[in-house]
Amino acid sequence: MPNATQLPAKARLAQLRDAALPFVARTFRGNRLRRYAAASALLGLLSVLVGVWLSFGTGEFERDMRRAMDLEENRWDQDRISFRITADSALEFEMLEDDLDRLDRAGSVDEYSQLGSVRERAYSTLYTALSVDPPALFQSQQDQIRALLAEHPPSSQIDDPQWHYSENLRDYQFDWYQPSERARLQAIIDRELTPAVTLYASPLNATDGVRVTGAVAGGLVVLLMLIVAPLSSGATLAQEVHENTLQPVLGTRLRPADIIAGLTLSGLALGGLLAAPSLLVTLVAGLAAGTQIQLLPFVLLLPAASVFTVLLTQLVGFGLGRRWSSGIVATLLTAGLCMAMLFSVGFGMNLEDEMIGLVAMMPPVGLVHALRELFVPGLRLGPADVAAAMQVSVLAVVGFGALAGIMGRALTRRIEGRTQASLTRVEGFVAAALTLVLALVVIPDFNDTHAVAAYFVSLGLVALPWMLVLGGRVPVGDGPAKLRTIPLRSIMLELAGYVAIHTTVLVAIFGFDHVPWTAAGAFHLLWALAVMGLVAVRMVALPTNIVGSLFVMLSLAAVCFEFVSAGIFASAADHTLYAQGPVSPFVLFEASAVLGVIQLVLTVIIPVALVRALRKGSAGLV
Amino acid sequence: MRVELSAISKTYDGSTYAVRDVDLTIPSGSILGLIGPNGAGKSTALRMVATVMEPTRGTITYDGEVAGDPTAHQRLRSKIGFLGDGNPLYKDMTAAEYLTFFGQCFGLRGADLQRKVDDVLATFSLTHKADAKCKALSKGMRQRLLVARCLLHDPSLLILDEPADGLDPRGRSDLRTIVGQIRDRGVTIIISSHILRELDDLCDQVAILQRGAIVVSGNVGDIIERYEVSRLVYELRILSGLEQARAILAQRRVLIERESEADGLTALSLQVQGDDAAVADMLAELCGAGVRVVTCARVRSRLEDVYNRLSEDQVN
Repeated sequence: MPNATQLPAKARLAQLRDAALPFVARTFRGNRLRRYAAASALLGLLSVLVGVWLSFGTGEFERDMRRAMDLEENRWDQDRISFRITADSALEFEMLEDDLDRLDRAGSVDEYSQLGSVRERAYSTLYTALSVDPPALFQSQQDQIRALLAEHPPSSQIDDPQWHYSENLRDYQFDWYQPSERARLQAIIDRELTPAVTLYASPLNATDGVRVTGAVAGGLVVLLMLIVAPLSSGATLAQEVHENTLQPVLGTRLRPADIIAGLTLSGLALGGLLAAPSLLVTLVAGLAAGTQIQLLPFVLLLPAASVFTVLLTQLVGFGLGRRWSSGIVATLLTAGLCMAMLFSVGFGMNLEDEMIGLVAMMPPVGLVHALRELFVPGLRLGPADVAAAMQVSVLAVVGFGALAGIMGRALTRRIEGRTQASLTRVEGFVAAALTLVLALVVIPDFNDTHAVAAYFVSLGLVALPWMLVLGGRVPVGDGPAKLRTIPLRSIMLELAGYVAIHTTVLVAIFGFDHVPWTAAGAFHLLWALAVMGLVAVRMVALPTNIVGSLFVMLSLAAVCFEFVSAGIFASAADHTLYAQGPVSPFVLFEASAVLGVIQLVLTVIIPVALVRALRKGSAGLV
Repeated sequence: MRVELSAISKTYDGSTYAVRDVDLTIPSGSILGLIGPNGAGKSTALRMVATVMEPTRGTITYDGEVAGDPTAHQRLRSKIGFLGDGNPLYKDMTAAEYLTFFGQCFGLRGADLQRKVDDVLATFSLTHKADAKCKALSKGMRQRLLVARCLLHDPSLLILDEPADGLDPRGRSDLRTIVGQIRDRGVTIIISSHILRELDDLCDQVAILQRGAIVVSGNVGDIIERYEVSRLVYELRILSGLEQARAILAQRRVLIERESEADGLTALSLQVQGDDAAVADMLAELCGAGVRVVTCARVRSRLEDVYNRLSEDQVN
């Protein structure tokens, strides 16, 4: 059978279908397909019902949600300006109408009632408006106030003008230049001190309702594709690894790559089936009432983010499944995915123009952002930023698509169970370069960014992905760690290559003159990067125990500290920043001699201990 | 399928060998029994033959075709049924769903797949359990299902690693019958077991593996002859007449390995020189002399004796 890379597209598609069939059929075996289809229809219906409920519901929650989405103004402000009382329920409305009747008949109302309170504030507004000289244009309005007060003089202590000038209310000021204040005043005059009473109803119209429904359905699609689908695939692979059920499958005619493709597609098929009606609702709502152009990033980012997340959870599931049961792994994955989703919703809903590049490193943020742009007109970006967001989204799709492919290859090698590195050197370089490009996109406009900040922020952003890549370069397999040789020199040289590329790109962007050269800064940076590489190798190459884990955590904390130290020295060396730098090359000496000595000792001990542990725990370092 | 292993070696660390320089030829349609203690390298050797593990050195040929690259492995796996060591099941799948899944993994589709699933369920007497979840099956049924999975795609080579592990005597007996039936279809079978008496009557060939190396291999009859294991071990249970029995047995040069009490009877473990006729003569004489014989059963195979002889020779 020809190699997959040599096959024409049609044959490759057929191979993918053959690989997917057993796993997809397993996911939907028995009456599961019917059950999932029913759940899918129910979820679609639910998204519509929730959308309609949030759009037109009159409860406090629905109002809060509409206000959070900037679809409804604050009711207190609306009522105050329009001089009206909005009743939340029919009973409250009835009681207010009774009070109005009483006011009409008796000419006064209980001062502690809602109506009385609103009238009291109206009198207060009138008197304070009288106390401030209006601009000439609004002189007639002040005459109208006097006429109104003459016609409706205060009938109790509450309505006593002197009472309103008491110390308690003196701080109330009337601003004739505020249109909203003038509107309130006019409403009080027009309604002759009797507020309007209305029963609350959602201010949204049918188009708004379609938008809200689309946003709810879109949110559900994102949840299903970025939590349910990855969870299904990740937990399944964890179970296969933990219960060793993968071994018989590896003995069939399916290649390891087919198995990974099958598991990925089965998770996506489950998520896709559950999300299908909601996706349809999202697309229809987007076309009918949304910003249609924003459907493009949503449609592009959804598959890329889903495939990437599914493969990432499979990688995690494979790693954790060796040690823990699928139940524990599923719990951990759920917690991780939900936290990532909360983070994405938080960022995506509040993504401002200068942070639009974040979409490049976090496609889920881009998905939430695209939904916001689609359905929440009040929070929309300007046209220039929309174009930037589109470009970043396309870049994220390409970048994460390629990274998903590399992860798939790594997983394929892992499930083969042979002693080998998960990534080849070329794949490692490609992954490192891709993450670097995506990290550079995250940084806002380079013209407004300082070279030192750009260098350290981008390096900080790629630190974790690079650690994963370096970990992927460590040979692992079914045999004990003690029997494996670690190519440490080669891995550290590759890390040096990544850093060299990063530095070259930044120097090319900012120019050689903007690079602040400092020996202390360079030392701390190189130390942090070297230890970061050693920790990445240590975490993959050797089995973990409590002491080892604690030491790794200490090492990572030291890496962060030294990284910040390097940034401080670099800032101090840059004459344009006018930053004061530390005197001692070890910054903790500035705080106390003891802390300085501790820093000095750890600087020596940590790398030495990491190398020793690697040498002791393996067959050797080369 | 004729399988030839030529100087197969496997090391995980570059220095210690799990399997070393194994040469074996398994004729098409024969049953090879692979015998050895735990850690001898049986499972590693079988995995290499099943193409799920690559040998460090050496080649394996299947009907003359060398298993080289992954593409060749994929093609060969369509002809190989492999039951690995400690094979688990998907507990929440029914027996039919389990077989369907593996059938699809072997590229079977539609009506052909359904027919194959029905066939193997019938062959392994599991039709009535087709819709039962795997976790609800007995140990014997699970083992039968695992073997059934290996036969779905009509392999020409069946590799069974400890298939009788955990089976009760009835299950073992059924397994022997099934393996015999599979052999009758012309399938080459490699079977590993540490319960030697299950293999000596079943296997055409046997290979004994010690510390990764083959210490003896060949036709079962030839090996027994080569190692001069002409004695048979029986357990004789008598109700009375122990003294007469001792005298007769000593006269016939039958070695009493052990005397014990079992179920109120005297049990004698005997090494009888000669063949089954010698045993029949001995029993006739015992009965004639008034020894009240209740049972006489063979308790150890000749193959087991070969294995013990090799162990006595400090091979292990």
